[in-house]
Amino acid sequence: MLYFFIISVVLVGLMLSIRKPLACKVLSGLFITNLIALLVRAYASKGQTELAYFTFDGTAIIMLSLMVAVAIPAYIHSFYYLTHESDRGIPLYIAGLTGLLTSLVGVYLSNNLIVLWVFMEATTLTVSVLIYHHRSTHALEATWKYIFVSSIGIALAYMGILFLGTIVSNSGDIPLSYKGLEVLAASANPAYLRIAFLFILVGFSTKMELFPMHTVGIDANTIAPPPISAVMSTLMVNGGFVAIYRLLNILDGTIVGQWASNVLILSGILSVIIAATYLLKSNNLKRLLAYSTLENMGLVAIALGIGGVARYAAFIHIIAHTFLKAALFFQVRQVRNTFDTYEISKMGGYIRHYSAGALVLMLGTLGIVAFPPSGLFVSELTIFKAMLAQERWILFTVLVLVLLCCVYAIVQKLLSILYAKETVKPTGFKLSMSLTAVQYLLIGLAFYVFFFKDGFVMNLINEAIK
Amino acid sequence: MNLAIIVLFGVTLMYISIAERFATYLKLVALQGVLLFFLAFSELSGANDLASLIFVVAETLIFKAIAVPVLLRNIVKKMKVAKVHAKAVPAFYSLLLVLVAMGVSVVLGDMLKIGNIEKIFMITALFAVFTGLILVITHKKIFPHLVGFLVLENGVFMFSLAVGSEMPFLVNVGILLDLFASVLILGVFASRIGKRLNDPDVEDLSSLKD
Repeated sequence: MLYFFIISVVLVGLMLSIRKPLACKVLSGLFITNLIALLVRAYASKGQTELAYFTFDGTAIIMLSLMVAVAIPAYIHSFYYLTHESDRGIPLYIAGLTGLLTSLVGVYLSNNLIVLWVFMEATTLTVSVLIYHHRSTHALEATWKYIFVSSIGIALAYMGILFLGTIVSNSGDIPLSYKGLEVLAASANPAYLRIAFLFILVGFSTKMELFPMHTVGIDANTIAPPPISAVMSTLMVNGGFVAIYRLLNILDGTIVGQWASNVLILSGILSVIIAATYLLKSNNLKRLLAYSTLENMGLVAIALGIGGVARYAAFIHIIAHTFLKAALFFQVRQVRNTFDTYEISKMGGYIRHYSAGALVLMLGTLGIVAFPPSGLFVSELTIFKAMLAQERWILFTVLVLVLLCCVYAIVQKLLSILYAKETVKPTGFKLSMSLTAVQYLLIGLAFYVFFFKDGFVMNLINEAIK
Repeated sequence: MNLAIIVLFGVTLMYISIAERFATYLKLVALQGVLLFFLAFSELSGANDLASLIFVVAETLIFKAIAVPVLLRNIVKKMKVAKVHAKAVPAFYSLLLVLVAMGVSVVLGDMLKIGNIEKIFMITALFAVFTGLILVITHKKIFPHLVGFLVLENGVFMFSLAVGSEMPFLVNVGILLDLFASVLILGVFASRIGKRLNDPDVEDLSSLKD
């Protein structure tokens, strides 16, 4: 574990000091190797704690595996994007991406709320560099908003952690470890736990792209280079999910457990409603996908709140969403190359211009609206079943209606890119088939989730929700 | 002594909510930094860990009382205007909001009594957090937003001091937040936004929408 962080920091340092594109490629390859080695080690030492603050538990291993699956295509797409379209700041971009992934590893693996918070803070720093990559006025605006709102979120989350800190001030345990907190929270003042939960939820909702602090994520996704949007909409929101899920686990056995679940359900349903409203309105392809992330994270929050088998569905949803959203964001860049715009109303006939990419868009659309055999179908069905089993009729009705709006908006807009008549002249840019092949692979993985019955992944999920 | 510092800190919060001149914001933030320095010193001077005491006290002095006000002064100097002339909410209402926030802080502070944390600490810290958020919400200019964030952060730091007399680890992490946010936010503002926009309104940063 220590080696992973040392090697990663050294690699980032080398990227920034050598500043040659070829060196960046080699160093990125080394980082990926480092990441895979960590994953192998995590599998081999499942359940073990290292350096006192990091544990290879089920949740951590699932998130780490997803990271490897998205990070490799993210680097490939990034290099293609940087060398073919923008020669600006390759070393800073690649160093920023490597730093972001390293920070996220810390978020996933930490077994302590303070350590998680420190790494979360580091993600804000590294991702800001990436959002500002284009150095345009829009990029400046998105970066400023991201830094400002994330910093307020981080400060609020810290306030929440301080409230939790008050209940452990006299314990001899390692300060604020999840296990220690679980034990102490059971006998803690409920008012403190409630306030701590609210502060931390609001604070980390910037990262999970969940109501109420979802707006900055939307703007950042719109402006960041597409491979970075892919990482933010998947691995970064997964980081926020891990933080909120760990906190929920701490509160589960306490008197405020049910209350916290209800707050999450409220936050989730509001996220889905807001997402539906803007999905119907949005005309920007990247914003459309960003709002779709908000919708899916809302569903995950609802699943976490419902509890029981729905928590299993939350993990399935996170896994399938990661593959699908990454593939779609990667494909977005090729769409942009074809039409030189992100405005949906100007695009059309993509199936004639680049049928391989159009198929990715079509399969991705079906997948993201949970059409079988998408992995999201399994998760959403399970969430609905759990909802009905608990007789939450109002929630069920509202959610179904709002999701129908989301499905309509996404299908109508994404399919119009394929079949409508374009109003802009296609650029004739020669698109890379190998990049599209990588996107097929990700979509295939999302569909493969549908067929999960048992096996290693299921065991990991069961372990994570135990 | 502590009580006097905390009450004075509370007064700066009331004042900052109705201030309109950028120079006043600057002075009040600097004053809050100095007050927090004295508070940190008196709160942690009884602790056994000398290294931690030196670290915390030096941080409050160097960053909160010196570096942040100097950075803010540089930003104010670069701006062409010296006063908030377009508020989202009139001063009277922001004062009213701040008074409500104070009431809420008192009620919450009373509700959330913990044996080893002084109630007045909790009330003032919560009051600072709310005042910071109110400053962000009620202003259209970005500079008061910055000040609002710094006030919010001061509130968080004050609370960490109250908890931290027993857990210095938490105070040190709070300092990390300080360094991170002050340097990053003020740095970005001073080096990028301030250069492009002499008198930035939030409207100037609202091109990203549906």
